[in-house]
Amino acid sequence: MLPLEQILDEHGDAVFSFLLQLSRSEPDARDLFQDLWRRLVENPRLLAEARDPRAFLLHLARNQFIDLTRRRNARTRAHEASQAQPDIAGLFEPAHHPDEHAFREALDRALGQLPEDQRMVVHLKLWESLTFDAIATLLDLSPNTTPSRYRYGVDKLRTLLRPLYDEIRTP
Amino acid sequence: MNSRTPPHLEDRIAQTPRRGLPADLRQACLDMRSSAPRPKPSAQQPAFWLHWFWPHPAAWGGLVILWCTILALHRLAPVPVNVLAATGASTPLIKDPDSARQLAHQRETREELLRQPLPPLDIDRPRKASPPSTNRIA
Repeated sequence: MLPLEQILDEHGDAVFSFLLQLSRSEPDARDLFQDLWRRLVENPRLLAEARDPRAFLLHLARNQFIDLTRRRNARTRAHEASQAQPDIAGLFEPAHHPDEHAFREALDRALGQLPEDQRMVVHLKLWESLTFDAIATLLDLSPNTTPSRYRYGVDKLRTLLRPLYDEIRTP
Repeated sequence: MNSRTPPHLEDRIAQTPRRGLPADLRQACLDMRSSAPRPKPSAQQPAFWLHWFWPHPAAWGGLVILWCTILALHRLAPVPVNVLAATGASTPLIKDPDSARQLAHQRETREELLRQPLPPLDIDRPRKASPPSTNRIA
C-alpha cells in the first residue's frame, strides 16, 4: 500500500479538481477534500483493495459530493439558488496572455452551464482521459449512457465557446 | 456536430491546465495525518480466538444454548428407580406391606441359598449300565 503522502502528491490535484468541477465552489471543494482525506487517514485500508487508486479516489469524491448535496435540504438549496452564483469557479490556472485568460474564463463559465451529470462525464473524459467504460463504472452508470452524456456536453461546450474560439484563432 | 467549429476544440479544452490542490490545503491534510490518533494494535488485529470464533457466531451461540438446555433438563429430570436401588437407598420404595414382606422373604431365601455349599459334581465316575427292563419285554 502506498504511503498517504505519496497518494496525496499523485492524486491530490486530480481529486481536488474533480471536486471543484462538481461543486463549483472552492469552500465546498476544500471541505469535501478534507472530509475525504480524513476518511483515508482514519481508515488507510480503504485504499488497500483498490486496483486503481485514482479511480477509487474519484469515486469516493463523487460520493462525498452526493452526500453533501443530500445533506443540504431543499430550503438551503432554494436559498442558494436565489442568490447570484459565481459563474467562474476558478477551475483553471490563471493565464498571463489575455486571449488565453479569456478562453479559460469562457470555458469555466461554459462548464458551469452544463448539467451536473454531463459535467462529470466531460471532466473525467477530457482531463482524466478515462474510457467510457471506466467512467461508467466510476459513476455507476450503464456503459451506453456515458458516451451520450459526453456528446451532449461537448456539443454544448462547442456551441458556447465557438464565437470566442473562432475569434481567438483568427489571426 | 458543427462544421464551423475547429475539430480539435476538445483537445484544446483538455490541454487547459486545471488548478491543482492548494498548498495550504495540502499542508492541512498532512497535518491531519500526523495528528490523527493511531489505532491501537488490539483494534487493528482482533484477538486470535476471534478469528476462530467469529466466522459463525450464531452457530456457536446456538451450540452454547443447546448445551445449557441439555444440562438444565438433566438436572431437573427425576432419578430412575433402578438407579436408586443400585445405590442402596435406604428409603423403602415399596409401600404395600404385603409386597414388602414378600420381597423381604425372597431376599432371605436368596441369602440362605447363597450360604449353603453346593454338592460336589460326580462327572468323573462312569455310570453303570442298568439291565434291560423285563417289564418292557413283557
